[in-house]
This record gives sequence, C-alpha cells and structure tokens, in this order.
Amino acid sequence: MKINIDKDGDVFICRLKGEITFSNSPELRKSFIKLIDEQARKLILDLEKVTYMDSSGLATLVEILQKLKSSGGQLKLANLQEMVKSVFEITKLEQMFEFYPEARQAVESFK
Amino acid sequence: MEEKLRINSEYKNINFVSSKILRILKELNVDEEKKFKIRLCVEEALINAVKHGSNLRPEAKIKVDFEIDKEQFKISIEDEGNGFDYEHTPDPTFEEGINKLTGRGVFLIKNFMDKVCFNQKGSMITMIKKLGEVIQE
Repeated sequence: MKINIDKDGDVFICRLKGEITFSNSPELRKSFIKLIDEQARKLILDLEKVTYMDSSGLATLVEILQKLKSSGGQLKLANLQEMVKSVFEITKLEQMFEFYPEARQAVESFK
Repeated sequence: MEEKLRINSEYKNINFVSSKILRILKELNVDEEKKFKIRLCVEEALINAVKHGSNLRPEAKIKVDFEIDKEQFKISIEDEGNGFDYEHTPDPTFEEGINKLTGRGVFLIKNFMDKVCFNQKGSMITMIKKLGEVIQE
C-alpha cells in the first residue's frame, strides 16, 4: 500500500495505491490518525488504484471517518473501483460516506 | 481439483491459501468479479479462524479443504476453537451495527457466496460459489 498526499489549500488529497487488507490496515490507520492529529480536517481518499478491500479496510475507513467527524472534519471518497464500491454498498456503508467520481469533484465540494 | 491443506493459525498463511486458490481460478478463466468475491470470503473466514477460532495461537491448526471445477468453488475451513453462535450474529447494516468497527466479515461472506453453512458448534464454515460454465484455455 502506497499513500501519496497532495494539498489543495486546506484540503488533503490522499492517493492510495494497492490493496487494503487485514495485513496493512493497522499501518494505514496509523498514518491517517497521525494526519488528523496534525490538524488535517478536510480529507479526500482517492481510491482509483485500490484494487481490493476487506472488512478490516472498511473498519479502518469507518474509524477515520468517526475521528474526523468528532474533530469537526470531513472525509470524502473518490474514484472507487466497481468491486471495492460493492463492498461499501453491501454493508450499507455507502450511507455513511460521501462518494465522488473524481478527486477533483471532491475538492470542489469543499469550496 | 481438490486440495486438503493443514495450516498453522498465522496471518501469513492466509495469503498462502488465497493465492493458491486465485491461481487455480485464473487458470480456469474465472471472471474478476467472482475472483474478488471468492478471495474476500476465503480471507475473511481465515481471519476469523486465526483471530477468534484459534485466539491468535500460531500452534493451533486450521483445516482447509477445497474443490474447484468448472461448475463451482467449494471450501470448508475448520479451526480448533469452540465455535460461535452463527445464527445470531448481529446485522452490521442495522443502526446499532453501522458504526461498529467489527462484525462485517461473516455478513460479506453470506452476501458474496451462493451457499454458506456451519457445523453445529460453529467452528467450521463451508462456502460454495457457482462458477457457471467457464472457458478452459
């Protein structure tokens, strides 16, 4: 799993590449908790290059969302591959997250 | 094709099993969607076996028996634990479950597989996914 972070004003655009699984979810969680602790409040996760996500990946994103919300922040997800999106749909987590077809649109929604 | 694997209850062995299965599915030209669902269900069931069934004891054994042909994929995963109450797992899509960080693995398995059953005590899961007619290379 690779994470590239760009900033557009106060919006953090995090581009993830690879698979989000039980083996790397703790590491991913740690990276984002650190980012939130460093005062990031507007986060976009661009999941275009995320090819697989299991229930521990979902749990990690739910935790990041909850932490951001409790700190007055927002999390938006962009560019999900069809099968990864289906995991959100089946678990009804699509109701909890905001989805955008592209990161650019997610950035615009913050403005 | 049939395989009977006996693995130690360690996270690293989860990838060993799922990679082996994915290689066979690829040889059978199974489509990406079915491969994704099968991988996810196999890994979720193995995570449960390692974490809950074996209580993270690496010396504990997990039995993995699978059969794959052009019609279907069938796998049984059994751990040495005391099982769980599979008939009363909370629905993670209900209001009280949606914010929880756990409890989605079995739910995903039940949704992605065509047939799922457990032994009486809940220490063995059997899952079936229909593959339909796939084209042999």
